[in-house]
Amino acid sequence: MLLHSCYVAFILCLVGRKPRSDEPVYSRMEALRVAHEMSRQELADAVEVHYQTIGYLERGEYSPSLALALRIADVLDTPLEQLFSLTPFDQESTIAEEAP
Amino acid sequence: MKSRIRDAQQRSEAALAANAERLLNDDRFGALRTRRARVALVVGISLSIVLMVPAWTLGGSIVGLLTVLAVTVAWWLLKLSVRDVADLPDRFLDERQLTARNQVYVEAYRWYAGVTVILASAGLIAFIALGEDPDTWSVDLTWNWCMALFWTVMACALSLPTMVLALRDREDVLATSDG
Repeated sequence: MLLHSCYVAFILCLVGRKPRSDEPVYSRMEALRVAHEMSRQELADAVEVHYQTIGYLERGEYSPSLALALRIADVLDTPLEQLFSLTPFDQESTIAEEAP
Repeated sequence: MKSRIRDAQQRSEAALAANAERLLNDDRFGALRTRRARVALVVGISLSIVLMVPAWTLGGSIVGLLTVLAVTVAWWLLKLSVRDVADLPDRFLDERQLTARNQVYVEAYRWYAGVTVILASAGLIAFIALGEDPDTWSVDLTWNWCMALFWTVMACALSLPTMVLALRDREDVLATSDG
């Protein structure tokens, strides 16, 4: 009985375990997309993802694969490091100043 | 014969692709994709599943079938609400949807395992507490009991991933230039 209770407690601990949170990736996709006068749907079609995924990326709620990040950078004609960063972007720097 | 099979496979694949395209880009069911509607559907499915056993065993076959129908309709609406991301084949989903789907299945499995362990443990503890004396209690596995168990397990297994996805997924807003 005691052994069984321990087993149940162990399983419940496993069930309740939360996944590790990923390292945040900061994005300037929304500003660059608006600067290019593109809708989410247009950008989504260009990089072959669902339009909801563009929303997740712009809010920083999903970190893209390298391939997707490169496709977005290509469509927005922007270097990858100006699009995504592991540290927050400087609020005062503008897109125009950093554009190639 | 081989060409007929190939044609049938191509038609089936084309129909599946058209259905997936329609589901992923359909904007007719916006009212179902709000947080409130999703929570209401999840609560409705959960209550219907809980009521399945008393419905089949106490209410009879007709009442039991009505709970099965209620779960089926609510599950179908919930699938529309989350664009069937939990059940569409991989090739129709993008990388974010695939990641979300995989996380949802892990979480759904944990819930299913947790509920199964609790129910099985409760049964075992009840068995130990009541003893093996057949005069004390007995389980009469009638057709209605069999149906109750079958549909409860089936409904949980099939609908749990979609329910978890509906609770995790953000509210679905239409694609606009600014939003």
